Amino acid sequence: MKGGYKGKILRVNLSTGRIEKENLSPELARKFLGGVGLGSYLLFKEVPAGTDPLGESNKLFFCTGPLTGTRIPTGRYVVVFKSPLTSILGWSSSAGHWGPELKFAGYDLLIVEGASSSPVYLWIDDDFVELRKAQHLWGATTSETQRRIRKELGDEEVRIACIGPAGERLVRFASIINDEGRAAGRCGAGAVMGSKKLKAIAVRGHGGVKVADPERVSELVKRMYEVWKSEPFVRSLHLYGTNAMTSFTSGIAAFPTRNFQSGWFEEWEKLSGPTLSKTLLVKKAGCFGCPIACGRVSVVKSGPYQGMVVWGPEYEHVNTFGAGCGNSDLEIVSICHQLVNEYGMDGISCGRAISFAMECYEKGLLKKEEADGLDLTWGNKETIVELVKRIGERRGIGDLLAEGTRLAAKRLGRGTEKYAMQTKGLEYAGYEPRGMKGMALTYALGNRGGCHITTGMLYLDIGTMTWMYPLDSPLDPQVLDLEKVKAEIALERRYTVIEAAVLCKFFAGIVFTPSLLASSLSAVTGWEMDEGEVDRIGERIWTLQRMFNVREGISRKDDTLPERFFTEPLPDGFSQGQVLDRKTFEEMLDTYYRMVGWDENGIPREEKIRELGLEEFLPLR
Amino acid sequence: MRQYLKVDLDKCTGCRTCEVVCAEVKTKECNPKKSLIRVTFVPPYFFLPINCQFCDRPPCVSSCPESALEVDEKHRIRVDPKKCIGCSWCLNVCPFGAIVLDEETNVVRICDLCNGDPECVKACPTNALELVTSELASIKNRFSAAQKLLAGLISSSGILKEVKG
Ligand code: SF4
Ligand code: SF4
Repeated sequence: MKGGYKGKILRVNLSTGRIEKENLSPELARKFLGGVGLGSYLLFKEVPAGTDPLGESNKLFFCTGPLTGTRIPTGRYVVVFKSPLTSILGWSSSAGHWGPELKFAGYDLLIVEGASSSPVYLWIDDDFVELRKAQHLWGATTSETQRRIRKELGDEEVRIACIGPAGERLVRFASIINDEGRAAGRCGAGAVMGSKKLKAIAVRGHGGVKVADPERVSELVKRMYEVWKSEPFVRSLHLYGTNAMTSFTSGIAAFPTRNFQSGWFEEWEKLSGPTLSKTLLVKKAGCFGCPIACGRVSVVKSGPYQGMVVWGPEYEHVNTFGAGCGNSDLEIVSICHQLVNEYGMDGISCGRAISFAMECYEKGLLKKEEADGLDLTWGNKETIVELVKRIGERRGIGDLLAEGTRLAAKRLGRGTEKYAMQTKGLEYAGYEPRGMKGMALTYALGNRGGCHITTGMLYLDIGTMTWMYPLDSPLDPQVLDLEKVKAEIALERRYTVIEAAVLCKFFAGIVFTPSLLASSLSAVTGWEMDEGEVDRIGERIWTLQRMFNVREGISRKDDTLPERFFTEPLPDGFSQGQVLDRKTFEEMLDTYYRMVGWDENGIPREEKIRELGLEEFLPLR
Repeated sequence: MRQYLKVDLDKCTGCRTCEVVCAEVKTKECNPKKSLIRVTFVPPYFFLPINCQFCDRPPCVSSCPESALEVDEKHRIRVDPKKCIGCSWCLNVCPFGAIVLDEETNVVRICDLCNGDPECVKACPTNALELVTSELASIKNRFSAAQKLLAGLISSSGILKEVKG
């Protein structure tokens, strides 16, 4: 391969201890690129239908992409696996510096399979790869784990991805944390690592990444920088971190409040990006080669956690632990952010589990005695922090909530399912689908469940523009129509390519045009790709992911949202009165299925599957 | 006059763009380990880019057994690739860890400030790096200290606002 790839896959079997190096086939790479593309392909091939996500046969595919480790800004990696939270395809991506380091060590992909009988960690130093005992690290928080491994290996620049106590205890939404506070948060990758007794993966790489046409890459980077400098939304990400979003979603009252009872949080300004900058913020932190540096570092100023260094907080946690739980204290949000990172769990699912419990409590469906005697009134700060800890430790009521809202509601019964704010088991992020109607499609159709970032719809829905889907004028957030379906389709393909090339959805997702995406891939790999081929790759990966889910039993019945969004109009603010119309929603689903070549039950048609070159996976069931 | 890179610790985000660019300009390869400026993370949350400091009495030069290193008139260290035997002695004694041994040629490499037009400075997205002389560095520090010292006195008069621009 001319550029972008190292051409090597590292395969580690934890049951047998075998470590192998395989070649990456260039044909396969061109078809699926890398990241979420190659990861999904390999998952489908190697993990049979019905596999227990926490069993020995599940696998973890840690994937870089052709653009990882090049000058084109991206510090990410993607991990693909079968999710213990949703029981369908799971993937999660994280930033920082770990991904590029894996590539510098010489590998495009790392496959972890089998399960160890006692705790281990993996140490990759270029060609030298070994499994080391990790009994002494079991139970350690993520920052402690990273510190101790660096010390043990005697190298302060080792990059470490690890799990914390939540992953060890199989919290279904446990995350993987790398580079202090960067998280592969969603879908429970940390629990899969925990089930395999793999505490951490430490990497050191000394090689570089070659690109096919360095001059062209430099030219492209120059262009990206020009756009980046003049793009107000991306600038606001630098100034205020992802928390810049709080002002946008609050502006249209689509900032989920009290478990989605409303989109208007009266005290949102206390949680906003500018407030964070004025109060707790001490530093902006960037990922490998990225000029945006949306990462934040804050320090807690008072109370029992005074002095706590927080690698955040970021928008989603501001929403889930803030407005989502009726809490306006940014310091409490920051503490929760750091706690979920230390335990190693997803702050979106965790925060939504807490607000789920709070709503059940409000409605009298969860008694104080059942909640370990805690007072689950909205905004009760001590309770919110306490619940984070109980979930991370699977203690008391935390053991139930650690199952995720869908399973927890099922266990509780009593009609609590209504208050589990999720699709296919994955809890929603901080965007209210009644006030941002495009998000209803994105949530319903996402291949990993109710995810906010499988498309760039949220940018369109807050009325900003994204170069990735150029429009003449902004779309109306409150309308669900054919325009939104078209955007959904185009964006899910392009965003899937971003996740396969392994770029960042803030930088590439906003600053790149489709043609810049195609040129970047061409300049790096040396394959001349046009926009058509790039969109095709996105469609192929997206369809393949759907096929995996169909094999696990997913169909139209699962492409939906909780009843609340169809029956309860938003009570206040800009979006007052907004609700999803069931008939329109179903029509849009029909239109979507038709346009992407799936049948009316949401199953990809055989012609479509063949057209995309995925016939090796037929028949589906 | 000795020149060096001044780092603004508040501005640096640890993004390592400087590393990537230096490596690429100097070795045509995207490999941070070959960069002559390296961003060091110091817990709890500091990032410090470090390159050659162009010392006044450079220990690397005096310790080289082959006299392969030489200080030029601009205080920059010149490596004679013919003389360098790749023993890494200079690398051992450099207090800043700023010397890189090229694994392919077995010759050491040291920042040369890109002949006075540093690529890393131009590439840094937050303008955290600046090429200064020690005199210029003091002037800058003095000026911002003076601003702070005077802030209490003149904040109400509006003069400070003008000074800040
Ligand atoms: S490029 Fe600038 S901000 Fe980034 S690490 Fe280097 S000095 Fe710091
Ligand atoms: S001045 Fe030039 S040689 Fe020195 S660190 Fe910067 S880019 Fe590298």
